[in-house]
Amino acid sequence: MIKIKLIIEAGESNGVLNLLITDNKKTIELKPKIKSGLNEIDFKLETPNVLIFEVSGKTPRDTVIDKASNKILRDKYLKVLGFHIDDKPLDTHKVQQMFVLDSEKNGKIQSSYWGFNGTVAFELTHKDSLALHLANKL
Amino acid sequence: MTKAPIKLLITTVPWCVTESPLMAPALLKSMCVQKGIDTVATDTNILFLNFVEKNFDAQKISELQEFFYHDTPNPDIKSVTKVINFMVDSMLAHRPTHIALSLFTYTSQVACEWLCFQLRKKAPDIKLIIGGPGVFNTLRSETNFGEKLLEQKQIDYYIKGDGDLSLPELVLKDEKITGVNETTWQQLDDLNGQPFPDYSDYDWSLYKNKSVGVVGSRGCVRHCTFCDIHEHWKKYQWRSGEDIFRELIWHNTNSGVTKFKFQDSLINGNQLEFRKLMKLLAKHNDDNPQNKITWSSFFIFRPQKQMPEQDWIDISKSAELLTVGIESLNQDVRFHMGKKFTNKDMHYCFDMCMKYNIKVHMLLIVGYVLDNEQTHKETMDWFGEYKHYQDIIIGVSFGGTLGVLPGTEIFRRQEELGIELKDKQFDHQWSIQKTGNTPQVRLRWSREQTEACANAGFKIMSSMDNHLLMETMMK
Repeated sequence: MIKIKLIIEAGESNGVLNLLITDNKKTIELKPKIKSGLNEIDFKLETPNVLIFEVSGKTPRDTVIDKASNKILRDKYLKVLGFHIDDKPLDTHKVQQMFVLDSEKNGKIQSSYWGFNGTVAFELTHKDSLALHLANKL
Repeated sequence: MTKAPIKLLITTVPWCVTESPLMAPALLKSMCVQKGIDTVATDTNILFLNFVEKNFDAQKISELQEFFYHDTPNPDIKSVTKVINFMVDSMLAHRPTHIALSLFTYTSQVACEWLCFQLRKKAPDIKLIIGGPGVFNTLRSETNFGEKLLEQKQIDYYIKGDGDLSLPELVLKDEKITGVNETTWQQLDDLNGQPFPDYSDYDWSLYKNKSVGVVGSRGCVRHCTFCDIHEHWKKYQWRSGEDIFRELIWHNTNSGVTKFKFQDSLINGNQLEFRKLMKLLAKHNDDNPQNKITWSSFFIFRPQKQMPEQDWIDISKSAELLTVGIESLNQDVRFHMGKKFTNKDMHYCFDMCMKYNIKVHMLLIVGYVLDNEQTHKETMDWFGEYKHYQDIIIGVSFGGTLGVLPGTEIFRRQEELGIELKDKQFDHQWSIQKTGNTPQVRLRWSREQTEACANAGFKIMSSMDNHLLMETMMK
């Protein structure tokens, strides 16, 4: 079993997104209570495994855009800021690149910013946490 | 519940290419034992080097070294985990409550990072402390490595500067003190009268070179423009010739060791004390022809008036090898570097070495900031002109090409010298456009000087470190 810590920033716009965390081996099913701002989610997991994040609760009216500048004024989103394996963080640049959101309507998006409903599958390819860190080095 | 008694393990961290024991754990052990701390001092670096040599082929060793030196992505996970686990298990076998990891150079940082991770995982209650120049002297990073591991809670403490004082105090108090988890620190007031390094836990069968390390001084009397030693050792400190001699005799009497390797930046920084030591050793060796003591060390060439012939006679009685940072064969370049000896002085010293058969390992830097095609040609010509020095120059090392290290004079004077640093993360990628001193040119100079040196019959001392550096420059 390895320890995982996720640090997720949640953006609020008509509430926050829902997150369901499961795995390929069906050993976990977490529905963390997401609050606006920073959230820390800790759990243990058998590896190798695939973590599955299901993001839901987004509607078109949750992203508010300034039409003049085309900038987002307010959004309902989740952004992964940190991913710790056995108490050691992965490189933040790696975290920014390592997730692919398979969104319901916008195809696949490689980003740690999840602003659509969809699913993210993240493969943890090794049993040992040292090996997992080495496999996820930038 | 009663607290377990303290058991401190002090050990080295690879990768440091050496055939000799690294001294820091042995020295720190003496200081800790003096304070009543149950301490074991080992040299994990040599355990590791022997382990990789036995378990991996040359290609795999090269890949491992690439990873441990440069933290490259996509390492061979099986090999890396195997060596990390081997080291961690060998440390935990001592059942320590505290582990102090000594980082000799920046090339220990990658191993240190993953050792700490595995140690934390396998033995979370052990207090982890790191120290040594390798914690700060980073080639590829501007960040404080110790601070990074501290923030990640991978270590409990990092020590800057003289661990001699702060390590035992830290272990006993288990709280932040001066020089711990900060970059300011106090040097020892006096190097004299300190306990001698205790190598009794070292496995001597693992060393090809069974010489014992000795510290005669800390810091340096020179202020070479390319060197960052003064960032670490603010002032030059020395031991008296008598105190050093007592230590050599102590080791000789207790373990029979006769070969010593000084860890000093230069053994003859304090000429007066050096002269005393040479005289004591000369007398010892004259009186004990069956038990002669020899030493090797970094050494500085000096003008004849500072080192008359009698000094060379005395040196010849005990010196095994002088490693001399000549650095440039061009006098003007050498003076700009801060080396205060002329070509005449240099040839006088070589001639004395010839006369008294004193062996020299010559260090040279290729592509100093003042170098150009003319100085490059002079360097190549020197090897042909002075090939007779081969009798005493047993090897020539071309230390890569010049790196503009943070904390050095040339780093501070970049603008004035016209240096353009191309990559802040790799300080060998710099150019001076007006003189055509670029990485590609320096690589050519290095190749051509090495060829000229070898063609003249000198032996080139190449190291894996240097090879990796050059490969990185070629990328």
